[in-house]
Amino acid sequence: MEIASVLAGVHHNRLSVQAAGHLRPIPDWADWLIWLGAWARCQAAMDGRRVAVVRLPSRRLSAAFVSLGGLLAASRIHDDTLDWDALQALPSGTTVHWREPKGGKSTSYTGTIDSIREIAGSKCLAISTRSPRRHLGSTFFLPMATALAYGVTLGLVTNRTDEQLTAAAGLYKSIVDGAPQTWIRSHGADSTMVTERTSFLEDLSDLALAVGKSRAVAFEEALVISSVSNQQHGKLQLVASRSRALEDAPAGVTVLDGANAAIFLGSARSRSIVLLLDYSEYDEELVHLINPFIGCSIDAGIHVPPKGVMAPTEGVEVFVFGLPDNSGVGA
Amino acid sequence: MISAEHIGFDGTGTIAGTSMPHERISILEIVDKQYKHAGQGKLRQVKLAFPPATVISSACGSIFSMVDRDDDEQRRIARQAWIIKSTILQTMLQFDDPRLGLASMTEVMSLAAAAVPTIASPVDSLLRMMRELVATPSNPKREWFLAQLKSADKPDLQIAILAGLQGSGTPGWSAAISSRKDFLGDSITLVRTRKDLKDRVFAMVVIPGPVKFTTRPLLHDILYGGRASDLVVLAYNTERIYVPQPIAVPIDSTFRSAGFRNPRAESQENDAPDNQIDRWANESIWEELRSRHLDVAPISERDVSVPARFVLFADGSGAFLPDDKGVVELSELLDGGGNLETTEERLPRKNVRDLEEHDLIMLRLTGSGNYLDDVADSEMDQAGLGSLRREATEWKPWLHRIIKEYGEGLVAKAGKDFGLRLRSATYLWEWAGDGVMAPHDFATFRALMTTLAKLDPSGVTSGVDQYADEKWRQMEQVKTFHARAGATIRTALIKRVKGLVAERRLVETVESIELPGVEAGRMGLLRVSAVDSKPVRTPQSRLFHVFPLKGGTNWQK
Repeated sequence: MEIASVLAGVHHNRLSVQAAGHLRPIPDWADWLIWLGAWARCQAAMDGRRVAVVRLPSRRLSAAFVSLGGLLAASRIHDDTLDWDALQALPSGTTVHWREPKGGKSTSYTGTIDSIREIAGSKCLAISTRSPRRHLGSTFFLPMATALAYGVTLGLVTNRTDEQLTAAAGLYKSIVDGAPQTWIRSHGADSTMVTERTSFLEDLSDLALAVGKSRAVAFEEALVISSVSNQQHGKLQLVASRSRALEDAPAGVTVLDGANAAIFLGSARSRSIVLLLDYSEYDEELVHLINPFIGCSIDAGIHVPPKGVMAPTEGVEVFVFGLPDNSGVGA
Repeated sequence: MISAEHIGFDGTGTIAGTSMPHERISILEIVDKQYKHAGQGKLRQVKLAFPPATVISSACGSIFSMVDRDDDEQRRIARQAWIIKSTILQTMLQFDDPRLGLASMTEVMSLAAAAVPTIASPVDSLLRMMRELVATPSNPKREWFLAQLKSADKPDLQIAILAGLQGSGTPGWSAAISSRKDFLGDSITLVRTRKDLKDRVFAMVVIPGPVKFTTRPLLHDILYGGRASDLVVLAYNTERIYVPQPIAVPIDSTFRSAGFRNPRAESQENDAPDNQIDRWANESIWEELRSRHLDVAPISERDVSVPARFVLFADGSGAFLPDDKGVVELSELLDGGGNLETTEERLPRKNVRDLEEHDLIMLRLTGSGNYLDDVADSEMDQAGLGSLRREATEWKPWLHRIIKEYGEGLVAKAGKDFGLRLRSATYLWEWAGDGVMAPHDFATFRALMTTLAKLDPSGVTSGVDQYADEKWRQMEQVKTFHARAGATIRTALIKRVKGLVAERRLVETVESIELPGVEAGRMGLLRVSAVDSKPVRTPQSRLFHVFPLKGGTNWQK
């Protein structure tokens, strides 16, 4: 994977933000945070592990922009064939959901993975249907192209979620070169954010994103947030800082939003971790927490684009360190 | 860089920054301004010449150095001297304002000092100066501030004054002081806690005195959080201003060139007499509280000590709370403005280390220990599983015994052969104690049990795998009861809180809460008065135990 070409294909500077009804160009600091998220996500697909620690004047909204960058890059580097591999690898009995388009609408299906069958020379995913009721007990055979086009997911996709996914996919398409429409409906979450859920969502509530004169998409929708408690499909899983354990998506970026989330530095599995802190949080205790990780850090695993990194805006400080595989952070 | 202005008694300057209209500003605009301020804002130090401040500082320093602080009476004199000095130096009111109480302080100091002849001379000079100030009450800090307002000529210019220099007990800044009435402006905000900064940015923040004892989160938010484009430290020549620098972040090779220059302090901390009396006055109470509880013995071998912070409540009680845990905090809900649609899953919590004055936290008022455990135990009893917790955790004394016999390092090393992976051998102590129930996954737990059986086969009679399976299953059952108990408590609490909100009841100090259907002691909402800045190691059995303090709430007076 060419990190430069991935980053070049993510045109985050096209974004505008709508706040309190007014549309404005994306602020420089937010633009940098999106770049940071995209850079971290690109590296997550490469060798090594790394942590970026960022100190900001204010932590509010920062996790949203970093995660957005991560998701934009994820959609750019997405490979459909890996989705199919992943679907085939799901254990028999796993509950999955998909939506079959019918005219302008779509019907929601739920079933359990049965097996992989070969029909007319091509492999199909055999799924025992549980709902809708009229299809109860029947087996659906989804060939690769159909499964990927429908989007077979581990979480439920309601009508409302389906609309949100469509809106978000449209936004991504206008920012990311060659963003596949199937990525947003591919199974499972891509990245993880550990945050104070209520205040985080409250901050996003009056913000929307737009490109050019296109319809603005609510920021929360653009982040395609999955809900573990409701088993709703999404690409960004939100974990409360006060959770006892973290099971982050290993392939994506894990954003630790604040000092309370920093305790998960040791248990995160992701290959790219971004820790966001404000000045009041970066205290002796926090230093005590991250020092053991810095102590075992290595130079390898930081993949700098050929033209160098994007310099942070004034008031922002950042340092990045690599970690050995299978030791130190999580693993 | 910090810039300094030396201004005479009647000196004036101009306010940097722009006015902001009263219309609703989005969170994006606020954060955007914070970034701009942090990048371009400046910190100014305005030094005011005021000879009486020198006399008062000198007299109080002498009194402090002369009294015997092991003597209760003389210690009170030293404290009174500090309050007088801090009130005069920090206030921005006229010196004859009755809320400062300088006249009554003069009387009190005069009476107290009569019993200690050695301090007669500095006390005389102090009292003389106090009487002069009350007689000619013009306050240079106030004059400077009002002159700034006048020269700016923008009535809606957002200005903040840091009134919480030393928390709720900041001398010279009583709770009765109002920004509107006392500083003649609707757009002036008195900042006492971080709550006052929420969703706010300012054209200017005035810091009317030394910040050495200002709580770190509040101070760093003001200094480095981009709260204003113009930060002004307003001090008399005699006041030593020390602006703390943020901890330096490591420099890596990737972002080496992207350095950010923070405002720098012009003067460094020193150990002048002024600083000694300030440090003593601000820290002695906490040191006394800490030392009073340092000798508390654990109640059992499993009663491990954990970092805890002492929290003082407005009703004169206090409690040690675990530093790395959260507590339910309802000030936003109850003091207005909070979202009443809070669900059981979203009961607001706050980390103990982030607590600040005026927070409203929920604790049990009767009994001690973990409320959740007790409610869960009560539900287990009702389900006929009264011994479940004991049975599920019966391996803990076994683990404890083995750690004591072999040492945690050896146990961790032995465990490696059985797949026991630990980042630190000290985790073994955590598992042996009551703070956490078990390792987070079954594989680790089974490896732990296998290790124990290898080191001490007498601890398990059946097969170790079967034993691990059974204990894990029982612990899962206990966790289910915990989850159920948590839901019961949350539901009952939310119902009661909504009732309090509907009754428009303000909780000044403490509100006892009966939770219908929850039988494990009485709960209460307690208003936080102050929080120790340093944690101390405290046995777990001492945590959450609310007890009255000698001396009441007026702890800085």
